[in-house]
Amino acid sequence: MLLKVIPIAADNYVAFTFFIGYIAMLAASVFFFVERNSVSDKWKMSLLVSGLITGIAAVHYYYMRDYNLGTMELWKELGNAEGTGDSPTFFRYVDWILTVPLMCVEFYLLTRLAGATKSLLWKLIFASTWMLVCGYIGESGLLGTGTSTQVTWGVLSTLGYLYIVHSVWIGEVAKLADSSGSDVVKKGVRALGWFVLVGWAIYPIGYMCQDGGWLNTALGWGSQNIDVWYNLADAINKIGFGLVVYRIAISESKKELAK
Amino acid sequence: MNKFSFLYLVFIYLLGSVYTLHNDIIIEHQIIGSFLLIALIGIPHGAIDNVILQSEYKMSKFKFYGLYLLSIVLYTAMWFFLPVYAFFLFLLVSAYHFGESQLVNHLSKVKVKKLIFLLWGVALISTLFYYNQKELSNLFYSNYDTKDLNYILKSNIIKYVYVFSNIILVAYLIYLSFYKHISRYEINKEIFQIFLIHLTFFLFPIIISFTLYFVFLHSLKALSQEFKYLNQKVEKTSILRFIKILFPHSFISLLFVSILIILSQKNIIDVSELLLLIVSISVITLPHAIVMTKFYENN
Repeated sequence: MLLKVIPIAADNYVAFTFFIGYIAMLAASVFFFVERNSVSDKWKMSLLVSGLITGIAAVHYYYMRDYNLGTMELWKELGNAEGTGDSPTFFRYVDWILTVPLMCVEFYLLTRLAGATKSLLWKLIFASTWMLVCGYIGESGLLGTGTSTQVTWGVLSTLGYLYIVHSVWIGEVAKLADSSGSDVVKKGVRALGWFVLVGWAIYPIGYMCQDGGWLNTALGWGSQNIDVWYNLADAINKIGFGLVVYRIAISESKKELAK
Repeated sequence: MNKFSFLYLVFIYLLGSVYTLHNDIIIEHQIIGSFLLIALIGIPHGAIDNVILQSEYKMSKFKFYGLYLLSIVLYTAMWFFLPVYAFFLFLLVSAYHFGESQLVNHLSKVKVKKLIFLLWGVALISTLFYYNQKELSNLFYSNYDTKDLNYILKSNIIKYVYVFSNIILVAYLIYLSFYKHISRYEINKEIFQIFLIHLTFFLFPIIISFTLYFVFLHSLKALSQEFKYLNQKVEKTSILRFIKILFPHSFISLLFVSILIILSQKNIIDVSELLLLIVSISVITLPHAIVMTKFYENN
């Protein structure tokens, strides 16, 4: 059986970044799983979680790539000269609902030795799930379309995001990292904090770029531009996040070996 | 990120939501919202200058009020005779004061810190003016006695000041980090805050932009520092007691400005409301900035 080959234009950056995203996430997963053998037992779980995050994302990006290219072909056949594919909103949220709580699990694992409790873990998981469920309802139009509905769910979603930002920068996670006694953990949690503050900000920005959204109207940023940014942001956020965790795990493992 | 930057971020997202819903906030609502925030938080942050100066220099109340009022009277006279120069002085004093409150904790050992304070403030104000030139120009042209203040917006002065001050500032902060005068973590936070400020000034109208910066990044931070100072150096103070200490001078300032605005609206004094506001704020900014410089030097 021959595969149907879909021609991709040289300037189709959305397709380009889907391909890169999928392969890069897969490579990162392999790296994290293999490198589990290089760290002490205490840190193996953290690398496993990093590998799972990028592995889950790799699978979803594989399907997102196909969805984007498939819809591109469909619109071409229906006479759309530009033929850009649809944004795979459904797949994105399926991916995020799994990987974002896992990223919150990383914060718990990093600060566990400094006294982080299961209660912190559940609070972060709840906040991230809240953020994503509300975001999906608003972006998909599941419970109604219209600007006021989108804004309402957007605000509710942002509450979850701001809770996580607060916890990581000022609240419980930040305080635990500061009291961990390890410079590496402290710096590592701060680095992860930047991913949450800057890297994850792409998602509410993307939300506001939907048709009729403020950034869509004020700056002309539309959903076709935002797919490229989502793909790049996802790759950097997930792989970069995992690499920071890896660096902490390696440094702390070396310290333990030296004792 | 500290709690003040966090609040700033929260309000950015909140305003983003409002703008998505309504596409605009009418000028009357902008003024009301800004006035409330500035009245509740902005004005009070300067309301214990007397406590600070009297505590630091064992100054009598008579001497304090004498000096404070003298500077107000002299500066008001300058506005009367040389309004454009008075406005420039206001911008320079504000720039230095904003920069000082922002960076004083980081630059205690840096020799050229006063210049950097001024640079930070100039970058801030030029950014605000550059992104909102048209709006500012319309605002100044809307009254006969503020038209001349448009001088600063002429012939690309603002553009060059904006570009050079921001480039030099960021470059210098990176230099300080490179030579370990400040940790990379602190520099990253400062540069991120500069980026947030640029974003706000670009996206939102001038009144909202300035109010957000002034209230959350400047006044709240100063109030927090003043509260800690009172507790450590003067007397143990609860938040309620602190508010009571802030109240008298805050009330007097607001009352005075309100009376002037009413007199202007009823054409009893021949000065536009806009100019009255600018003059009122500038004449209390000068002595306040001097007091806070002494405060930061000694603490």
